[in-house]
This record gives sequence, C-alpha cells and structure tokens, in this order.
Amino acid sequence: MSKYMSFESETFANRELLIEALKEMGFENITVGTDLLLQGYDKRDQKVADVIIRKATVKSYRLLGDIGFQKTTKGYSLVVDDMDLDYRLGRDFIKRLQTQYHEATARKMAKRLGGTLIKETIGKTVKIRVKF
Amino acid sequence: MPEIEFIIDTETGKCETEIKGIKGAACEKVARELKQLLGTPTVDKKTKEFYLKPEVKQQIKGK
Repeated sequence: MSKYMSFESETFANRELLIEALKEMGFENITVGTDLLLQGYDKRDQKVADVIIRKATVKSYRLLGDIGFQKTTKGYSLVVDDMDLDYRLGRDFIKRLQTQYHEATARKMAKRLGGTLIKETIGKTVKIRVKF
Repeated sequence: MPEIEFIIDTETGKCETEIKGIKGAACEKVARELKQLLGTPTVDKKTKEFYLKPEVKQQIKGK
C-alpha cells in the first residue's frame, strides 16, 4: 500500500462522469449549458444550473421542478426542489448518485491506465479493483 | 502488479481509495489524476511504501 485517500464530497468534480452517473441512474435526457434557467421553481426564487434534467423528460418521478447541477469552484452541486427530494427522488438520491459517480471514476481510471476492472458487491459496499 | 482499490459505501456515499504497488512520484501522479476526478479528499495520507525508493539494478561491467 502506498497511498490512501477518502472522498465524501457531495459535489461532482467532473462533468463527463456526472453525466455518465446520471445516465446509469436512468436519466437519459440531460441538457448541458451555462446558467440555464430551471423550470418549476417560484419566480421570486429562480434558479439556474449548468447541467439539467428537465422535469418533463422524467415521467416516472412526476417532478415539480427540473433537477440541476450548478458549477462551483469545487465542482457541480445539486439544485433540486426539497419536495422532489423528500417525496419523489428520495432523500438518498445524492448517495445513489455518489455511488454511480465513484463507479464511473473507477471505469475512467481503468481506461486511462489500460487496466482491468474487478467489481464485487458485499452487502452495502461496492469494492472495485483496477489492476494495471 | 499495481492496483487502485475503490471501496464505496452505498449508504453514506463515501469512497475510499488505496493506490497499491506503486512507489514515489509514480504513485503521486495516479493520486493527482484521482483527485482531478473525485475532488478534494477528506483524508489524504502516504503510507510506508510511498517512501520506498524505486528499485534500480546496478550493473558493473568488467573490462
């Protein structure tokens, strides 16, 4: 063993991996831009984001507002209606997204390093080994 | 064989990584790439192996 690191951030550093993770979760229609206006929010509290899932494209959840990710200095941060998070997407939405994002990172590193990937799920833990 | 191990806790969203079997600067390069993709780590520590010098075989040629 030569280096150990632990990552817990709820912002996503890489846009490409964020989109890959969202697609893994079943969100196929993702719009990318800069400061795009989110629909479904109070006009007195309008929100913008740079990666957007339009509520109209997600019929299975019947969302009140669009799901967005706003670019910050640390990465892309979730913008979502609290009611959607509590009653439609589920409070664990960000945890599920983090899991998919971390798996996408492992795939990306395997590709970059020309390595092989071995994935194992033990209970609520996913263990991935990238050999190169 | 060098490897990166990812341990993802699906309940907390936490991801632990261990870079194994690489020493010194080569290890740091892989770590840097991981940080580019995963952001700033909450824990970042070098282990004993990191400080080992890469093996260099010396050949002494006779005249």
